[in-house]
Amino acid sequence: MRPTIPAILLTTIFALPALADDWQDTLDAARGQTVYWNAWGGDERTNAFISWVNEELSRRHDVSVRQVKLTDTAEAVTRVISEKAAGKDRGGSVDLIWINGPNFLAMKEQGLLHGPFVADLPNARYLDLSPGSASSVDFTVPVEGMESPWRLARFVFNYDSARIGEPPRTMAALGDWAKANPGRFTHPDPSNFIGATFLKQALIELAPDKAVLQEPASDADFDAATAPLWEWYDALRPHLWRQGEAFPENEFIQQQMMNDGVLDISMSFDPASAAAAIRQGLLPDSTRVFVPEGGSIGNVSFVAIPYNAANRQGAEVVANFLLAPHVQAHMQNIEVLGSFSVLDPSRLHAEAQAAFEALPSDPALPALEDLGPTLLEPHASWMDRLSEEWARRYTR
Amino acid sequence: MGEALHQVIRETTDGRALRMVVLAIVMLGLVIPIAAGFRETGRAAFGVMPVIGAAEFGLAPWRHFLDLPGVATSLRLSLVTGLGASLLSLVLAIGFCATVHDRMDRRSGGRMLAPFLAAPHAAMAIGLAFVLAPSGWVARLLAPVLGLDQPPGLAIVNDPWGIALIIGLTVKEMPFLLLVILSALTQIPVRVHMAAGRALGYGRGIVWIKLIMPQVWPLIRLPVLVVIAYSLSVVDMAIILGPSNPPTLAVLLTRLFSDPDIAMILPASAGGLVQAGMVMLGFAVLWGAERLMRRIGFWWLREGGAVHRPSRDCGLPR
Repeated sequence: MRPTIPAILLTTIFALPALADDWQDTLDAARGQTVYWNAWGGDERTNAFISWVNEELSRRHDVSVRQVKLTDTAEAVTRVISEKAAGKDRGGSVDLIWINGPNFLAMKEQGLLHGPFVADLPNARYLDLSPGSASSVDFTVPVEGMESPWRLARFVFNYDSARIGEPPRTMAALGDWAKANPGRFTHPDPSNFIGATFLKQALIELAPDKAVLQEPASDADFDAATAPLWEWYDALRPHLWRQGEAFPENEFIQQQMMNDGVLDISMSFDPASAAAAIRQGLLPDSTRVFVPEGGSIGNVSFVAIPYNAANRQGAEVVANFLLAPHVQAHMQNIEVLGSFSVLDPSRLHAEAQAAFEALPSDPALPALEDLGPTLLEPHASWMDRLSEEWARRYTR
Repeated sequence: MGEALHQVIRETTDGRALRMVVLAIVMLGLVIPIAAGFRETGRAAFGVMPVIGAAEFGLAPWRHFLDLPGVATSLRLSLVTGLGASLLSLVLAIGFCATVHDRMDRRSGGRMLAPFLAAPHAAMAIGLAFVLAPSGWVARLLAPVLGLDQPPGLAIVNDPWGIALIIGLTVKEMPFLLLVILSALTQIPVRVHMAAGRALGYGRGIVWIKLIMPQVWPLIRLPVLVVIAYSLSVVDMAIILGPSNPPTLAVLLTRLFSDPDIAMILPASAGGLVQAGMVMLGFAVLWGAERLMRRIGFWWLREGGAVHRPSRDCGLPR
């Protein structure tokens, strides 16, 4: 039986105020709280954005936000584990974590997260939360409302257009390019997130059967799927910077090396990073972005709340604020962060859509359509195994 | 009389109270947290960490740690860079003191060393990398002369042997040991001993080695232990200057502890115990070297070496 219009109206009338009341309770409880947001602190612009969030929320809802700057998200995970080990099940020191992928999987499996809470956020109505959508799956792991999206990440290469004419757009072409230009390309150490992502990107392109990557990696699957990758990598490695004997610790050291003229190509998990770095004087003006022909790995960055967070309501207010259309438009502004919005454009009203369209452009900032298709992250187990196998093969 | 007695009693109880307070602070602030951390690390190293669902006591984490690719290289790198840098710093500091001591008073020495001591280790390492790296200042100065338009592909920093790390650690530890030796020297009648040694026909350097250093050593032993412990376990400088694949043990452990796969905490804890054991080994090496030097030193002193060869300084006809 189809629901009649009065029935829909009726449920809406009853449902909406209930939601609003709950949310009002959350807002009241959050008043005066200080949310300790544990977020990777390696990007000046993100840090500045978080202090902007603090100013806005202090003014609007009397919620302060303090960034606890991490070098690795796993630090926050370890802290929550330590608190659980010490029996500190309330009043924990971590209120909100910028998280995704393996760290999320680890916390979800160990029952270290509060939630589900996303559906209760008023601004969740702008999200596409249908099963299988980018905001409801994190590295193939169902989110199930345990973390709330806030920014979009895409794996991209940066290159100096003054030094390279046409960048190599497939992994095979990259191998040839490196052979012709020995020592001018490398990737961060695979114990680092970006280094591992580079291997995953190559794996997706080279694996004979891409479907197995969406399942947890079994021994047989892993060997079959990665054989072409290692063959390709063995051929590439001698032509890497320092013959592939040493690797930059992370993508920022790699970016610095590109700025110093040591490398011609670097990589990033943020299409806006090149434009941002040019503005900060950290990359040459001629830096441009390219993605592999078949598209590149993309994922959504989330915020999650630990099960023992001392300021849970404040953390929910922050998560909700991050999803407000005007905040997402502010984030997508290249002068602020330049990270693409996680909201579903079809759910926005005209006014909000216009705000997105009015954003300034930048020659080093690719348009969303230039980035090609978004490839799904493999299951989180692939990343762990890839880094392990890489170390087993190439660390002596 | 009663008043004075009361005073004395109060002072002794005050003294005892103060001692208790200090003891309590040391226990609560230092010993207990370290002991607790040590206990938990030890349990995790043997597979017991209930929070992450590990409850099976056994040697699995040790096996996992020892099976890590490149772990033997990491251990060797840590030992070579840590002990190498400590030895180099000590030798340079003693040599420097021996040559310039009487031309430098402690206060001006302290002033000169202050910037070296105040600069954080990581800042010093980054500065050194700025200067030395293939894209650093030295290369930039030489680039127009040599006609380079790209940095040369040389492994100067992050070299696989850890030489850049040894240099970086030495730049930082040498001034520290120098300051320690300079302040130790104020507690020794250096001038008198120097005059006595010279009167017996010893050269300046020999007097330093035979008479002054044996007195300085007990005063600087503890700081040298500190330098060894630090150099063997440093993380920040080793990331910036040290090799990366594999890195030194301390960096390897840092990576394991921040691995997204939280089960890696177990082998990382086993590695943490290895790291502690390595520092103990460093201390043992120093203790052994001290014993050996004492034997050699006594033998050398009794032989009297230099007396038979009158040096030019003492003005005797040859």
